[in-house]
Amino acid sequence: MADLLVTGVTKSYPTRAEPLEVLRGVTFELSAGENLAILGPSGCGKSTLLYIVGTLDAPTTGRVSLAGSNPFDLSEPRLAAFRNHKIGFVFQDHYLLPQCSVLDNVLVPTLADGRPTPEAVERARMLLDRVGLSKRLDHVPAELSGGERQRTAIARALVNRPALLLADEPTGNLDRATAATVGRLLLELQALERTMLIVVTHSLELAGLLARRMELNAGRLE
Amino acid sequence: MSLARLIIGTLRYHWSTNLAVALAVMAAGAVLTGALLVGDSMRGSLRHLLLDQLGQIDEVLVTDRFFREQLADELTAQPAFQEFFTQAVPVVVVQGTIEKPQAGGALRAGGVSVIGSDERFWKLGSGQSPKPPGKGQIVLNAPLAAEIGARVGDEVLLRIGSASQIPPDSALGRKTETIRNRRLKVSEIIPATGLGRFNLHPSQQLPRDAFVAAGTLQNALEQPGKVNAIFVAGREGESPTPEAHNRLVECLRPKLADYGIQIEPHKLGYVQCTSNRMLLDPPVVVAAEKAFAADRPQPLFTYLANTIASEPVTGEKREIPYSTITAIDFVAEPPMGPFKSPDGQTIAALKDDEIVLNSWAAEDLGVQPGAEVEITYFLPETTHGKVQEARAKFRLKAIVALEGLAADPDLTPQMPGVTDRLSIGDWDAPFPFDSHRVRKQDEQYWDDHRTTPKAFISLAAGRRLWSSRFGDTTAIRFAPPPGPTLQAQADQLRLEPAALGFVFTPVKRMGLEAAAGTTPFDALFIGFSLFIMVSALVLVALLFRLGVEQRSEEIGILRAVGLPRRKVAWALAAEGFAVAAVGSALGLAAGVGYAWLMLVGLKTWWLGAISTPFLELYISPRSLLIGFLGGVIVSLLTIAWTVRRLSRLPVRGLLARQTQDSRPATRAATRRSRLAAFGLLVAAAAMAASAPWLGGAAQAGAFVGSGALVLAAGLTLIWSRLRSGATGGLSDNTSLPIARLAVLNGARNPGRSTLTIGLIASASFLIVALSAFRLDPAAEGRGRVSGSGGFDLVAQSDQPI
Repeated sequence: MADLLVTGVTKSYPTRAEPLEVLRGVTFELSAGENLAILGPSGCGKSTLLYIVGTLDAPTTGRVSLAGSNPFDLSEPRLAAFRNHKIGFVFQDHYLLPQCSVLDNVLVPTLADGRPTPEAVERARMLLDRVGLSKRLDHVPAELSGGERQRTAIARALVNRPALLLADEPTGNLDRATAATVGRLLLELQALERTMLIVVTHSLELAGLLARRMELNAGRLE
Repeated sequence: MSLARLIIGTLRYHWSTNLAVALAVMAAGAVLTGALLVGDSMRGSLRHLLLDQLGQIDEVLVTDRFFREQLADELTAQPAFQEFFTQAVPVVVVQGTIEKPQAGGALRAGGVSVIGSDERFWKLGSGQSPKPPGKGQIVLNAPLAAEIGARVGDEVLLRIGSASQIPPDSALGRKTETIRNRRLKVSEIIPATGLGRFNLHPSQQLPRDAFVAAGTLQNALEQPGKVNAIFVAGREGESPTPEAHNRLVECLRPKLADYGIQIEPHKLGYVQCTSNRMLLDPPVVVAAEKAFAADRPQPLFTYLANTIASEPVTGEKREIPYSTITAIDFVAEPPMGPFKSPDGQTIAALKDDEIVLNSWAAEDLGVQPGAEVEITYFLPETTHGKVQEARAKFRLKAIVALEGLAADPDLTPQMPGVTDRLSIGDWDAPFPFDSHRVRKQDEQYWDDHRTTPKAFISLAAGRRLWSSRFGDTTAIRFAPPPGPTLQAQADQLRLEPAALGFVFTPVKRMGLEAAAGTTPFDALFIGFSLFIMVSALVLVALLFRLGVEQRSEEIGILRAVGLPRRKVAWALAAEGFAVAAVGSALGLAAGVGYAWLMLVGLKTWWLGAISTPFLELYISPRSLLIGFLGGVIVSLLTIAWTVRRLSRLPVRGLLARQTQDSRPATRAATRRSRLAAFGLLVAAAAMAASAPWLGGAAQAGAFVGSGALVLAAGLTLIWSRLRSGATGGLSDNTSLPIARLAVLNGARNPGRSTLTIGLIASASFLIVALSAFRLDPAAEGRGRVSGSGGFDLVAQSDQPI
C-alpha cells in the first residue's frame, strides 16, 4: 500500500469576484523511496498542491493520507507535531533564519520538541557534511552563496527524518550549474534517507532527474 | 540552540526595529511614570510645605472668646498631655490690616494674620527664628512687607477689630467704632518660610503674616493677660495621631472664667450665674439647670425696652424711654421670691400676656392693674447690620413695690458703654439712641436705681420676643443650701469645652491627610497625557507589527517546520516582553524628565493652576514600580494583541509576506460591523442627549464619551468599508485616479490604515474639544454669568461693614 495517498483533492479561494478554483480533483499516490516531479505552467496550482500535501493548507474537498493517517483530522498542535516529524520542506527561497548559524538553522525543526538532543545535533552535523557544508557550520546565511543556502535548507528539511520531502522550485533561484548540483544532492539524500520526494518545478532538467513526472493542468494532474 | 537562544539572537539581529518599538514603549512609560511623579511631587511638596509652615505645631485651639493665658500652662503641666505633646503656647490670633503711611496715600494690606506671642511661639518653628518683637515692634513676613513696601525701621499702622464679647449681629452688640489702631515699628522682615508662612488654614498660597508681642495685642484689645488661641507642639519625629488628639481634648479643662461665666453670691441671698457676653450660651443654661436642679434654678432674661407706654383712663398717652424689662417666673419662696405689691400681696407667676410694672413706672405712666401696656424693643438679631423695632402689648396684672427683689439692679446684665455710665445721657449705646427722649425723672431713676427693671413679664413671653441664636437667658439664679463654698458650687457646673467653642483642631494631621488626598494630579496628568499614551501604544502596535511583518517568513518557516502556533506566539511575546521591559526601563528615566518638565511648566507657564511655585520634584519607588510595570504590561498587551493576529495567519501567507487576510469580509461580517457602528452612534446620541441633565464632571464625561463613541463608530465604518472590498478600482472614477489609488492602498492593510486614521482623528478630536471649552475672559464680557460675575474689582474688609 502507498505511504502517501492524495485522493480527489480540490481547492478553491474566495475572491472579490467569484471563487477561484485552483485544484479540481487531484489524485495520486507515492510509496517510500519514490520520487515525483510535478510540472505545470505558472498559476496552475502546483504550489497549492504541495502546500496541501505538506499540511500547510487544507483542501476544500478530498483527502490526503500520509503514513496511514489523515493529518487534517488533527488539532493544530498535533498537526504541527505531525508535520514536524513526517514532512520536510525545501522552498524556492531558502527561508533560513538570518540571525542563526548554519548549524542552528538546520536544528530549528528540533525546537518543536524543546532543546535539540545530542543525537539531533550529531545528525545535523552529518547532514551538513553530506551537503558539503561541514566547514561552514558557524557561518550565518548572509555569508553563504545561494547554493549553499539551499543546501542548508535541504539539510534542515531532513533533520527530523521525514517520511515525505517536499520541494517547491528548489532550484528556481539558482544558476544552471548550481541548480544541477542541488538537484542531484536532493535526489542522493532522498535515496539515502529512503524518503518520498515530491518536487514542484518548471525545470525540465530537474524533473528529468526524478523517476516519475506528472503535469498539473487547469487544476488536474495528468 | 534553544528557543531562548533563538529569541536572543532575533532581538540582536533586528535591533533597529526593536529599538524603535522600545522607544515607543519608552514614550508610553515616560508619560505614565511622569504623571505619577507629578502626583508624588504634588503630595510631597504639599507635605513639605505643611510641615515647614506648622513646624512643631500639631494642634490648634482658636476660640471667639478670650481666656486666661494660664490655661496653656495648666495644659502643659498635665502628665497625660506630656505623654504626647511637649508644650502648649498661648497666642493671640486676629485678622487685621497693616498700613504704611506715605505721601500720596497709605499702602494697605488686608487679610493679615496678626499673631501676638512670646519667644515660646518662635521655638515651635523649624530653622532660625527671628528675635521676638518687643513692645511697639512688629515683625512682617516678606510677602506682606513687599505688598506695602515696608522696610526694617519703618513705622506701620496695625488695625484690628475690637474683642467685644457681645456679638455684633445681636441688637445690643456694637457695630461701629470697632477698630483698634496701633502704630508699630518694623523690627524685622522674615522670609515666607517656616513660621514666616504660618497659616491657620495651611495652603500653598503665601499668607500675609505679622507678628507682635502678645501684650501689644492684649492692650489693643483691652484683654490683659488673655489670649484666644493655644498652639500645641507635638513630639519631634512623631506623627500626630487621633489618640493623641483625644488625650489632648481630655486634658483641656478651662475654668468658668475662661468661658466668661461668673457664679457669684448676691446680697439678697441667692447665687447668680451670668456671662460677660450678656447672654448665657444655651449649653451653659442646660448645664446649669442640670447642675443646680436641686437648688431651684430660676432662669431669667432681661432685655431693653425702647419704650414702655400706656393710654391712661384719663389724659394723654404716656411713655417711659429706655428701660429694662425682666422676663422671669415669679416664685413665692425666698430668696428668689416673693415679689410683692405695695399693699403686701404676693404676686403670682405671670401669664404670657400679663405684665407687672414697678411702682415707679406705674405711677409715671398713670396706670392701674387691668390697663393695656405696650412695649417697643429692638428685634434680637439685626438684618444686614440694621436693627429693627417691634411692639408687643400686655395687660397690667399688678404693680410691684420698688423694694427687695424688685429693686435689684443685678437683674440686668452688664453692658459696656451702658450699664457702667453715671447717667443715661452718657450712654455710648451700640444701638440707635435718642438722648432727647430721656426725661429728668428717667435720669433720677438711673441715679436711684441704676439698671433695676421697670417691668416684668413671664419667662416664656420674654423668650418668645427676644430669644435668638445667641441665647435666651441672661442669668440663672439658684438657692444653694448653706454649707458648700462658692468654688464647690462652681465645680458642680460641668461644661463641655467643645460646646463653647474650645475645640482643638489637629491641623497637622488634617493637613497631612489633605496633602495625601489632594487633587489627584497623577490621575489628572494621566488624563491629560492619555492621548500621548494611547498614541504611543498605537505606535508600539504599529511598529511591532511592522517589525514582525518584515520577517513574517521567519515566523512562516518556524510554523512550516512544525513549531506549534502557540510556541511561535510565545517566542514573539517573549521578544515583545524583552523590548517592553527595556523600553519601560528607559521610560523611567524619561518619566523623571517628563515630570520635571511638567513641574517647570506648573511653576512658570501654568502657574495659575497652583497659584504659587511651591512644587519640587519628589520621586517615590512606588510610582517608579507602577510606571515600569504599567509600561511593560500595557505594551505587552498591545504586543500580545498583534502577535495573536499574526500567529493566526496561514503559513503560506506568512512565507509570501502576506500578513493581511486578503480575503474580503463576508457580507455578514460587513453587516455586523455596520450594526456595531450604528449601535455606537445611538449610544453616542443617547449620551449627548443626557448631558444637559448631568452636572460637573459627569457632563464633561458625557461630552468626551459621546465624542469617543462617534469616533469609534466612524473608525468601525471605515474599517468595515476597507475590508469589504467595495473600495472600487481605478476604472471606477477616472476624475480622481490618484485619490482612488490612495484608497486602494489604504484598503491593502485595513487594520493599519484604520489605526493610523484613529491616531490622527483622536488628536484632532482632542484639539478641537479642548479649544471648544477654552474660555476667553475678554470675549466673555462682563455679564453676571461670566467668570468674574460681572465685577471689575472686589473689595474685602477684615471687619463687618
